[in-house]
Amino acid sequence: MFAKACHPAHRARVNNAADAFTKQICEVIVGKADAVKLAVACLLARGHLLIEDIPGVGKTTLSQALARSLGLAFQRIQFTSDLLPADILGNSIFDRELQQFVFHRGPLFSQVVLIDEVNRATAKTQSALLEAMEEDHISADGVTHELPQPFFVIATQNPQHQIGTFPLPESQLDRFLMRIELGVPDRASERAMLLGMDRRAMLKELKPVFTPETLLEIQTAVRQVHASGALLDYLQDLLDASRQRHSAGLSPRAGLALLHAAQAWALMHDREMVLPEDIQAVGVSVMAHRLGHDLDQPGLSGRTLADALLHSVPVP
Amino acid sequence: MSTLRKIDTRIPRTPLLWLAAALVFTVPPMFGTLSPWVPALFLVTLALKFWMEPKGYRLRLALWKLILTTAALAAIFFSYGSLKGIEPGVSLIVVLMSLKMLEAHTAREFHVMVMVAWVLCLCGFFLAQDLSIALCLLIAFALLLVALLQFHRGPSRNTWWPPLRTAGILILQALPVIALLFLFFPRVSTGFRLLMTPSSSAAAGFSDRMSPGGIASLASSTEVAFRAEFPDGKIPRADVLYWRGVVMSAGAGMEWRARQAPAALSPSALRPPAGETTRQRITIEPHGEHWMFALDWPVQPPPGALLAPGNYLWSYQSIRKPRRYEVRSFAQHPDKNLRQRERDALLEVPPSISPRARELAQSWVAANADPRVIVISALQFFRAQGFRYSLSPGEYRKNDLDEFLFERRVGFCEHYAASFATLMRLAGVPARVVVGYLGGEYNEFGRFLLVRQSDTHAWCEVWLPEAGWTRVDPTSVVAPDRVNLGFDSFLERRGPSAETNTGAFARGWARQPIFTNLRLAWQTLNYTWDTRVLSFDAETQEAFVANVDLTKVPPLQLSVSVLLGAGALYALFVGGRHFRTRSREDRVKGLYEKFCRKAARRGAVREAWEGPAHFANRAMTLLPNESERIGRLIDAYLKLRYSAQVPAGVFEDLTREVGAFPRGKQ
Amino acid sequence: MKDRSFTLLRPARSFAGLLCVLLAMWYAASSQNNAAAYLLLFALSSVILVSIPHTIRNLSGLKVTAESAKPAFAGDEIFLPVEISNEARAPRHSVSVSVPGSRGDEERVDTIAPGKGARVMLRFPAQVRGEHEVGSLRLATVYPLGFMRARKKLGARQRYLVYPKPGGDPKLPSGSAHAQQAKRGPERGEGDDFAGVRAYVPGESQRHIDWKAVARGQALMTKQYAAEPSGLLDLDFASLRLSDPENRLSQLTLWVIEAERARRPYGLRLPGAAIAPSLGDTHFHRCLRALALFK
Repeated sequence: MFAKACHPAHRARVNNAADAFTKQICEVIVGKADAVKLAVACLLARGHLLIEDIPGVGKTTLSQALARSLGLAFQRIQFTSDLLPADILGNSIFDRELQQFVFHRGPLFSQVVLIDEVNRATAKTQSALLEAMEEDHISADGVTHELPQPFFVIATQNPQHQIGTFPLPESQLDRFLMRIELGVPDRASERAMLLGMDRRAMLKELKPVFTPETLLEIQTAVRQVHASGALLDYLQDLLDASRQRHSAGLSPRAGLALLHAAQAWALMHDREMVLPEDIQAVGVSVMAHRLGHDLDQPGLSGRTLADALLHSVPVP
Repeated sequence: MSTLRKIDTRIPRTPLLWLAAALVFTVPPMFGTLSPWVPALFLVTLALKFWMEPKGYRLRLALWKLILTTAALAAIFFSYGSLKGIEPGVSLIVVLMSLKMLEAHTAREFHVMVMVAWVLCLCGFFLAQDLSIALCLLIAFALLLVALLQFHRGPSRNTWWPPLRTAGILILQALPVIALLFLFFPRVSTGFRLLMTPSSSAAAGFSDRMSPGGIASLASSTEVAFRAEFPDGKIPRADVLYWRGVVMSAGAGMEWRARQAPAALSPSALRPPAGETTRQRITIEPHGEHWMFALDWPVQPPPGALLAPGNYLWSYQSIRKPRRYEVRSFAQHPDKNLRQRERDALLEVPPSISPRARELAQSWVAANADPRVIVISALQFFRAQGFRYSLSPGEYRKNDLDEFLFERRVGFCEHYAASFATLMRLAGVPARVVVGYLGGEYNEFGRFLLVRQSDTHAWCEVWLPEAGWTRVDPTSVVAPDRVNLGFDSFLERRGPSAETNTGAFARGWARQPIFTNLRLAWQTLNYTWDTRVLSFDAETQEAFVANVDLTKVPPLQLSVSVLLGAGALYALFVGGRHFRTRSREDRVKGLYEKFCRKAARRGAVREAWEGPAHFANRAMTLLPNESERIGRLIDAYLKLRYSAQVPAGVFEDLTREVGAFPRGKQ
Repeated sequence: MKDRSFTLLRPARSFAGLLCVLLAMWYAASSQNNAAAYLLLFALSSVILVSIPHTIRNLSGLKVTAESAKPAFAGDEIFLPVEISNEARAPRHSVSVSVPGSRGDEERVDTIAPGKGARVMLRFPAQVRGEHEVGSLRLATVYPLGFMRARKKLGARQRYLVYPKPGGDPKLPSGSAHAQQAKRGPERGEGDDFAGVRAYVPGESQRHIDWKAVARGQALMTKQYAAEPSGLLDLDFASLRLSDPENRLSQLTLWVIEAERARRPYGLRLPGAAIAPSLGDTHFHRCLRALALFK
């Protein structure tokens, strides 16, 4: 955590690249600067992203814009209830010529995987996906296959309780660094969207902003943003408070996620150290989906709980 | 980690343990004064409680409580023969406390038990007031505080030190208040007086009658009779340390007695004579009688006492608690006149007195009628006729005077004093017996003389023409060392025959310097306790308060000392705060908090959860005049708290900016 | 909000007993003129005296935050989670919290370490339906000796919702007037069209468990069938024949509960508001909220 802060000039370059990335996506997704920035922070922190909202607010557009701008190879998978694990991981097919089973890689073998309506698939398929996300490799027929690096999953889903959905298991939700919501755009943005170009056409014209090297550089710089003792105190206070208050408090992994996301956020704001405000900025997105399963308080959503947590734990 | 629990009605075990420890310390004064079964019952119930508590047993049935209470009342009545007086009263409280302990289990009752325990401490002070007892009761008092603290701290594990520490802090902070209250709280004496003095203390010391064996029984008592200081620094020689107690001028043979309620001497007799004087400051232990002690001869009585005929001090009230007074003694007897009526009374001898003694006395008169010569003849008689001094002279029967003078010739000081006075009267020389103390043990640490009951002594005074009353100690003729060395050393000189071997061995050990020093130091403490605390009663306080007159202190000195005291307190306070916030990080935090306080006064209130940058932004919009300063300030703060490398001078920047941030008007 | 409240001090309940003990000590000491007894009396009263600043200090540096409380039905109890945090440098002991004027019990925390917090669950009766606000919380302490009680009010805003008290006839009204049909015992409100599965709730009929899924090693799931429109319940405020609007709300509340329990889709129609028929937790609370806030 106490790695030396990177050089100011280097930081500025990294920061410019991140800014350009954000700007490009904001052109496509109008009026959602906050959500876009969070999504970018998530990717810069090497995290998987979950976008949850009602249909038609641009979830898929955002995910595609992110994938295209990253400059990485990407695949899109539409999850349905009849999708089987093998459909995404790949199949072993008997090859007559070679007289043996050959593993045919599924769509998951890509640097960026866009998954639409992740909660439409059955629990089994979801599990296969989430396992891959966690381990960075998959196992099929007793053979381990490494996934390409970097590996991002950007998943979208509809809100829970819609008919025909399988809620993601809570233990696996934890693997998404952030869950963001888009929400309906305000009037002005909607007007701009109505008058502007077709979003799909715009997507096709998006150019990658990063080279793979730049991306790697940025990701390294993120981890070097300084987190002082005082900041870690605050972070741990948050974790402690969540554990005291909720039957399922934040896990150590959640703490790490919070720190990385805050580091990315700080870097995007051209700072060489993390402030409590950075944690607060990414807090709801990082914590909400991890807190939404409190058995004591079924009436309250994760967002409410996370918000309450941030508004009650004092900054030391 | 904090622990959370519902308001629990059960008493947790740890406070109960502290309470038990406190109660154990209230027991010592009970032993020796109360019937032994009372403290025994108390300890047994205490143990029982600890056996019962974890099992959830307790005394529930009202019938049982009633039966036990009745039984206890009956037992107390049978033990003391009455329910009145201090011992039965205290016994009652102890027994009821025992029963309460068996019954109690709720939080409310815990408070009741602690308060009853405080009452027990009070009772302890009515039974005994020694320093050792006082220390026990002080410990009990402190432990009760600890029990209360622990009770309110809840069931924390293995933390015996924090409550102890807090109790210590409370007591230390209370000390000045205690001292002030003790010195200045008005002690109104209530009109109605309870007779609560323990009957046992009345037995200490000699009585107003002297009969063979009376004083000898005190010879083994090491109880303290009184302590004397010599404020002028002159310590009289051992052979003139005759502490006058009571003068017995009635009686004959071996039986002498003092006057019941003496009238005061006429003021003419109180004219101080010329010559050397010895000032003494005496702290007397309660003995239940009226006499007070002074060296030969007191002339002016201390307040609250009169000078009785025979020149001894007689207190108006019987002495039932330690009392401290100052008296001046004169080397010579002040009164050179003896009126005829008094002379007749002092020559009175019952006709039933033994003819042999009368004959002996007459033979001296016949030889030489000069009273001085008669006295010398009588002393010569004791010296030459083989009289022996013994602590256990055996019992004398009916015709005791003859038996002592002519047959066995073994006796203790009382025998010699009584027979000598009788012989003098028979020879026509006015004589009386004085009972008091001789000698004492000088304490180097405390610079006081300790006089014990074992120093009790009896001697004679005869009236000689021109010289007036003259002290004659017939014992000094028989056993001169008794007078010169003091009683303890005297016994030692007499060798192993006086005591058993083991006793001598123990005494030898006790004479080792280290033990002697320890003993002397303990005596000094005891003495300080007695003189400074116990004898500080309503009268002493009145005199003290009258003395403490701030108007007498020069105003400059007064104001300077008050200022210095206040300054020292403030320095202590600030120093304590500073000492606590030593570390750099804490100081940065402290500065930031100070800034927040200042900003809050001007309307920009930081929420507890609000981060510094966020708050600074808000404060800048709320206080646009200060926005630049806030910007610099928060920049420095963020660097200091959150940055990896802090450039030099940033801390100073922060200190300066926070200091310069203007306070609100308000 | 910055609290500007001051600390009030008053004798605790056990003070009366203490006063008796002090009086007894004073009487005994003065009647005997016993200096040792006086010393004990002064020691006790001084310690009580110097404990007062400790009691007051024991409340300083404490912050309370009321967290969101789950809605409750009128007549039930509101559970309000409260966080007490200690921002002072020393630990605080034996602090109790209560909601002023709520007729609820106070809850006590034994120890709060410096820089830490403690959570208590305050319970108090929910009285009238509607949205209410807790404006402040009362902190009190008798630490260290238990003879003096300090208390102060700290601002802690939190709103909570009280649903109307359920009452009236537990029997559900027989659907909408135009679609009276399909009495299928307890499994009402379920049609024939397969609509998906949801997690099995213990106690439900096992008829619709998705056994095939179980065989595949999945958790117990219940197959859901789309309800026919005829099974929809239309709970209408206006159609009730009760005169008192509060009684009507109570009746509607009861029906909402019963319908949710029977898993029968229901809609709610209030003057000025209508909620389309549906089922589920969100819908349930939405309906109850509308009933609670009805004017």
